[in-house]
Amino acid sequence: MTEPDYGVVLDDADRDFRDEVRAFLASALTSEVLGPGGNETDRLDRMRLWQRRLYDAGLAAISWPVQFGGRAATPVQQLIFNAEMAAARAPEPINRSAVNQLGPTIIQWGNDQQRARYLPKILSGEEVWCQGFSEPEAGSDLAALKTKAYLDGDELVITGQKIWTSKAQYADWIYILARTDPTVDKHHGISYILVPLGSPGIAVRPIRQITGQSEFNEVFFDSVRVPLTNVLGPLNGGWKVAKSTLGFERVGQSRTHRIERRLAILVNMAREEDALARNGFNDSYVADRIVGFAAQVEALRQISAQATAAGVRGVSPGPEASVAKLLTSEVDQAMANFGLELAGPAGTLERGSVGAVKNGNVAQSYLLMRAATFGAGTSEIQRNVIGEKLLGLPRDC
Amino acid sequence: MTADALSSLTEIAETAAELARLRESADDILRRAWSPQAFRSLLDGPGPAFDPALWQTIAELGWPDVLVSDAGGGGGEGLRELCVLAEAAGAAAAPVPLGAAAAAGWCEDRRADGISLVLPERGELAGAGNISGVWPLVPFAAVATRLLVCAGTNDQAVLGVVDPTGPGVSCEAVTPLDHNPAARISLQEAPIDVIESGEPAEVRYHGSTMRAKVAQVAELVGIASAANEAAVEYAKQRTAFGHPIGAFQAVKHRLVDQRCAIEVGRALVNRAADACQHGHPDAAALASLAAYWGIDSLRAVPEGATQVFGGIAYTWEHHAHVHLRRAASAAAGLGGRAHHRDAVTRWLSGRHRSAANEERGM
Repeated sequence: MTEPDYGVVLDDADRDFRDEVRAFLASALTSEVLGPGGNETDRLDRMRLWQRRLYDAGLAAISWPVQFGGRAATPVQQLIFNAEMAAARAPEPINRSAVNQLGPTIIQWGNDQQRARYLPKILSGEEVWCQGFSEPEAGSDLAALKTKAYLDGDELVITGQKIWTSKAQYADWIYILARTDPTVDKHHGISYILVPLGSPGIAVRPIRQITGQSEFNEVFFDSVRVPLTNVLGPLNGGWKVAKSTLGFERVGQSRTHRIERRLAILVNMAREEDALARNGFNDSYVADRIVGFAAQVEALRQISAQATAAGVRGVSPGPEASVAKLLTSEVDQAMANFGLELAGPAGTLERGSVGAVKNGNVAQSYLLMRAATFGAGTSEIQRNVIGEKLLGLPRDC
Repeated sequence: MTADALSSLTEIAETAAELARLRESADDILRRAWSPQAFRSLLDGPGPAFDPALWQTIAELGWPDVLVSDAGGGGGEGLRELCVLAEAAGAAAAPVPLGAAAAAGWCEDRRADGISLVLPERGELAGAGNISGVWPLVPFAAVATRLLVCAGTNDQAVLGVVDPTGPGVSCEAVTPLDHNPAARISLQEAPIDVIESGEPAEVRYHGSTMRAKVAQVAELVGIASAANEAAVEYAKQRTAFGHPIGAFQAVKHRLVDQRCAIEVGRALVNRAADACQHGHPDAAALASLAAYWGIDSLRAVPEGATQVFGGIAYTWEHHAHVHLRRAASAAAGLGGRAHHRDAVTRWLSGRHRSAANEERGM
């Protein structure tokens, strides 16, 4: 295992925390968790097991407040935790998105009963959650959503469709946005509702992606009934609650590790493909592309350290955070594109083919990275946010 | 990076806050002493774009001596501070050789009267300890009072001061795009007042030119941000088809992409400056990475701003070409794209070699 580079100096408490995380990884990251290949069910079992082991060690949600099962971790400790997990190649715990987004939203907007009911099972992974925000006609313009829920006694009756729902094929619960008052403007009259996926009237249909895999689903609601107590935050006031969730999504996992790793892979491929001379790259086009990527990757390291540092002082991270999101997506995709070019014709071979570069990972990454610039907010929307919030330009006409 | 080159997050945050205050005060000083309009009047005039009174103002404030130690009579500050001042000067269109002069001050570690500049390339050792060489384009050399020159390599290296008015020195004024008082310097067995020789001379010269380069990128960040801000303001005012042009995504997204290039540039300057300051082994590569970005992406920012302005920016009267000219000149002074690219690729190759066997997924 390589020593992760935190980019900051650790104090004694930080070092203690790092040692605790390392000791945990040494004992808990066993072959049962890391597993060899296996099918989808095996992979999910390993993710469940990993969630459970993090939970048993009190490490399932280090940034949550202590009273809800967290550690109230400092930004440095979160940095350490993420870097150690990445360096050890730890798998994704099955409820990571719920821990990062839904949990903090319940802590902020939920009542005591809701907190007690949902939070522990998010942490343990006993209940796996998925997010039902996007709809076929409401993506970037999320508030245009059409799924309806009407009040019937002390129940809500939900009808509509969600799309791009990852994890719905195995999740137990889904949190959705639905229009509970169609008479007011589109940002009002929306409610944030917690729905058991086993409810009568719900159908989940997997979407086959361009990669050939099915990570996403369509979820159909046909007169699905849930009690009114399943509304998180105010009835008809769900837009603000959703904005909290989306805000937590943005501050979630930094993707700096991922782009650093992809850059390292490109550098090594350039060497293997003989695009590299002994004393430097001999192909100036290859070198030019890679140095351009390196500039952005190195800048993003500095920008995320700066944003984390601002967080230490409780200062809002400022423009750097939105700039970082846009650039990370764009450079990640551009590096995958260039990887396909650098690998030559054999780069297009899919997994299992004789001579496939990196066992087909170059081809797979190329397909997978199409989503980098529209998943979790398109680059166009990110540019609008930066243009309007940071530069003060007028809204689109 | 190794631990000794790093700071705690609290220190990073405190440094950022201190530097932000320094920037505010620098902006305030420059607002009172200078303006793009003042630059314009120099551009309109017959002479070079240089204002002795402006230089006097910043020299009295100690900006060119910011890297000189307290003992040497300077500010005893670091490269991050110099970069903040250089960026402010870039944004204010102040025609001052701040980076090159501060690098010369660092090199000698003494507060200088007049204007000292480090020559960016080496000369050759001539007989009797004299120096020869030709530097076709040295920004601000026509107003320099001392030239710091390095010649020879390894044991033979010497670093010293050449008097630009002395024997064997020819200083021929040239006019670059930004009209700075540049000169073609030609030394023919010019006498040199040696400061250092051998290996220490090499090290000191290298440290000095690296600092000058990083500060130059910082100035370019400032120039680019002034161009971007001006174009943003115009995009809010100018209407077409019944809307401000900034409401059209083609214009808005261009301006955002430029702003992102500026943020990347600033982050690279900060990283390179920290590494230089701590004598980190990655310093030279990070300085080259920042210079590469300056050449590759920052020069293009005023070009994109010109596109947002359209025809009006093609007129002599409009300010847009001030930033365009200054960015082109500043980027040209950073050296060759291929040179910096090679420095970075060597660094990347070495850095990722150890990780090569480990990386097996994409």
